[in-house]
Amino acid sequence: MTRKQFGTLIAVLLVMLALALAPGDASAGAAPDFRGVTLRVGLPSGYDEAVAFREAAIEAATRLGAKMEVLSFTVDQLHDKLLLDFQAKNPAWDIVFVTTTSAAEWMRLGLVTPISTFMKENPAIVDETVLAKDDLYRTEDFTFDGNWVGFPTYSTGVALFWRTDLFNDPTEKAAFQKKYGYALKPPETYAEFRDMAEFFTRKKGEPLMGKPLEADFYGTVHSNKPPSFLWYDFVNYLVAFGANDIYDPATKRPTMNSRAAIEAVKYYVELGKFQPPGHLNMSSGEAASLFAAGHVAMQVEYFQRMTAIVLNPTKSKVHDRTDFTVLPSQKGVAGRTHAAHAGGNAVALYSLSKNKTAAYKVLELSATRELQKKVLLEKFPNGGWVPPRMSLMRDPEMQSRYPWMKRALNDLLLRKDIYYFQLGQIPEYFASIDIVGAQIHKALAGQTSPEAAMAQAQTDLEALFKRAGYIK
Amino acid sequence: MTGGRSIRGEGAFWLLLLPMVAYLVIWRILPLLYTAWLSLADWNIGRGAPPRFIGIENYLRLLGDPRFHAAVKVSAIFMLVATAAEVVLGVALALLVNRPFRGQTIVQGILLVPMITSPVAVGTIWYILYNGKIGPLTYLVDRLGFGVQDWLGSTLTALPAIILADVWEWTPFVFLLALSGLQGIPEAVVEAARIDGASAWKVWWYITLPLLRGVIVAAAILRAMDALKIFDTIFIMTGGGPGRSTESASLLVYRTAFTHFEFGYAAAMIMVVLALTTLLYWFYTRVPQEV
Amino acid sequence: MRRALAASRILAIAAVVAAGLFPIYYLALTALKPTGLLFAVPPRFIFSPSLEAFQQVLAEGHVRYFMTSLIVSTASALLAAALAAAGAFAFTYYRFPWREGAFFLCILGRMFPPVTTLVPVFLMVKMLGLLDHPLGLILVYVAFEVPLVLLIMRGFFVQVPGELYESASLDGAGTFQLFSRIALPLTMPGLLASGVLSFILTWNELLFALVLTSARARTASVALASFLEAEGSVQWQLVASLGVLTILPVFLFMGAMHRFMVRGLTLGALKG
Repeated sequence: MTRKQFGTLIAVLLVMLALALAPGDASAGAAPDFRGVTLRVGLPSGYDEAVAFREAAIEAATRLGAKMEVLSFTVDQLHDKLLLDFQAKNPAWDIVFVTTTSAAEWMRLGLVTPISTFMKENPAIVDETVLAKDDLYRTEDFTFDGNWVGFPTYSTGVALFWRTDLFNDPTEKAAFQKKYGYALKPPETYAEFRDMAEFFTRKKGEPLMGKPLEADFYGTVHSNKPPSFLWYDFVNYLVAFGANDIYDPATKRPTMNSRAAIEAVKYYVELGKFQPPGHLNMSSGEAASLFAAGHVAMQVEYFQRMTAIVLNPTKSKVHDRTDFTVLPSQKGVAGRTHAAHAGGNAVALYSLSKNKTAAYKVLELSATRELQKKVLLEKFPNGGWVPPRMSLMRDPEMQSRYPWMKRALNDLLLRKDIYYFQLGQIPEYFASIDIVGAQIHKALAGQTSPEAAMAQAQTDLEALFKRAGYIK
Repeated sequence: MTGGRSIRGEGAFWLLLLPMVAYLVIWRILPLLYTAWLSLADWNIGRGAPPRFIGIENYLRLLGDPRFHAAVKVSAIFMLVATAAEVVLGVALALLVNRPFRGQTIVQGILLVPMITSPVAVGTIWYILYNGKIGPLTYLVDRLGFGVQDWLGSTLTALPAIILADVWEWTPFVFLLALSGLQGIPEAVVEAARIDGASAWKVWWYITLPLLRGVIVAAAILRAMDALKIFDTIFIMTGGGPGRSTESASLLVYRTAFTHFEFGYAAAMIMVVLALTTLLYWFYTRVPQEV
Repeated sequence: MRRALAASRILAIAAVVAAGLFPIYYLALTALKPTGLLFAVPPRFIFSPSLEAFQQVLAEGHVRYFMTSLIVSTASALLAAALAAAGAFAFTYYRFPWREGAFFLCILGRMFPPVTTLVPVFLMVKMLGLLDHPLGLILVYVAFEVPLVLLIMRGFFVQVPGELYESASLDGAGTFQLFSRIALPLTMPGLLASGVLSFILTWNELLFALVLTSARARTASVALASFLEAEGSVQWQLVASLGVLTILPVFLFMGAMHRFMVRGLTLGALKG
């Protein structure tokens, strides 16, 4: 290499190093007023409620004279990063996004400062009228040992979505009556759900509503990618069939080999026959996209997700032919009618934040009725977010703008006979669903029987719970 | 290795070697020692307590852990099959493209494209290709009469499908190295052999291959080590499924650390895999490298 | 016979190029498809493209991240090349009793998955105060790349005939001159190849970039990967357009570097 080439290389290296060493943006620390304060939050990309929060938070911060910096990650990345940052005592964040599976774990770790704790210690900062906590959706789902962790980011849980055109079609109705002996209508029991899923699963070329299909059609679709997507879809069946969510809360003993749990797995595996190939690897977004493209008859999914995809006129071919109702019930199981996961993600204060006061005010302001209404109207004109304020859902103007809002309020949120449940709240929950999910996945793939799968899951769970000190 | 120069009194030797070694010791070896220490501890960061020394308990637990054994098996199969395919194809490609022809440089550039794709993008691309609804491969197979296959959802085809994606992505790596090696082979030697009447096969076997040996071995070692670490592609395409049939060791380590929060146990897994890799490396180095 | 061989060779090359490019081509197609055509059966290959997906993605402002990636990948590749080339030369020119062991120690660093040293490295970078700073990433990446360059360069240095060194020594050349005037020029293809590989590997690196950076030093790979596994609406065009954008910069870089590399390759052949 010539001297000149060598010199060029050194020059390039020096330039790169100089650029690397150049100072980045200055970020001021906490100030008495909020001018110059930069707050940071990590949000999962692709979640519409996260987008809603982002918009509200940025607006709120601006009004307070501060700056809001939002960083996007996938849910897994966000989870891992927050954990590591907390372990290393890195004060890089101010607000954190909390999912139902990690809420208990982060509370116990001390990663978040519960809102209630902060409010108790700083009563002068809290504006109760603006906060209007009672108007917020299901804050009890994010309350542990009396500590309220974070502000909910959306409301409504899981619902059953079905194609009105299919269910109202006279040809289909006649054929169904003939085959199964009862009338075709949105299913009220899981036995009916199964029949209808089977009925509507057809191959390309077969008739649907009198016309030959251009592509395969499916009775239902589930996102079965392990561990989280699979679990979120399966857990509704597990609870509806009368089983415990992983463990018995009284004895802290896992119960996944109970008769009810095995029944649920058996049923779930059978449903696999009526789903598109590839469901084993689908994320919920992909599953919903299939419904939105018109390939599926019924889908159980989070209402929030479906308003963003399936009910959205700009994203869905079937938005005007889809209706929703409560989930079916399992005959013979008491106390679990229309069992549905209540859903929920929250935003909370990072315990190591240096700007907690500013962060709290931003949270409080973003959650106000006025700001949420603004964000909803401006950013979600076609729907896509169900704001967690009951008063907004009752607002006649909102109800006329979003045709589904009134029905969602009455038929889903306010209905008294729905058994809404929240996911297990032990720190080992995530590990548990990884263990059980893998076995269910094996059963779905035909590698093992539901009984054997749950037996193995039970064994592994017991080992896990023993190590955690819950059982002997 | 060649070179018989003694290091006695050679200050230059230390100046050449030490910066690199010191750097590696600080940034790779020391952290590894920390991990080794961690493998002897029980540290569940979900419970918030500091690491607790427990000796070889983690290793004993690994011995009886079927999930770990299965993951090692998956990694081993993946590594062997993928590396073999990549080395053979990569060298073949280099030989194929080595003759001068019009557009040679462009072709060489194009052939490198899969390698520069990030593993995340590769996982996504192949997920789309295999997808039942929008994937052209699936459509093609369907038209050929085999029906719509769920490549990534069947225990039989999931791992081969992922291996195919990896071979697509990394064959260019071997290709690049082999090509560089071929370019370094003096034309004169090859010409002389040809003039002497040696057939193309003989030239290849007795001259080209031995001269390429060093490069091929390096490529094989590198690919094998990298194949053992594969993560993003599998994570996106199957998440380890169906069941656990594509859960590689690196995926299991990740799950153990970030889903189960067992950092100590994960560290022990890493040490075991490292030990196996070391064994492999020593086996590789038995292959003579010089002419 | 000759012509048949040439024809089959051309066919083989064409097939390989097609196999190499098709997946990326299909990705680009998916990125450009308007929503309605996405699920069309049979898959459509000819349609009027829509740039909407790209626009949506680019509106997020990714330029800054690409700059950071460029700086980090280039600086670390150069540093690693310097360190490792020197080291590789030392390993091949000299013989010493603990040579094999030392070499093993050096490439040991590449034998385990990155997640292994995540926690200790994270703590070290934090201690240096370099979290969320490009230099932190550079320091870590150099350690990743050195074993790679070392392995490759050793394979090349080994081919250098000892006689060249001897005759140069007799002419009065010192060790450093043997390194810079003889060994390096002869093995330039290898050095360039390993430099390019290092750049590519760190450009696409995700785990440490994710953990060691937050806002200021965020790299392109982190920014783009955050979209690729969304739970929300999976719009394949968005996902695909992001995939294309991930590939594009490296592709362009390769285009530029490749000419440089080819020159190096021919130089090597001439010297040989």
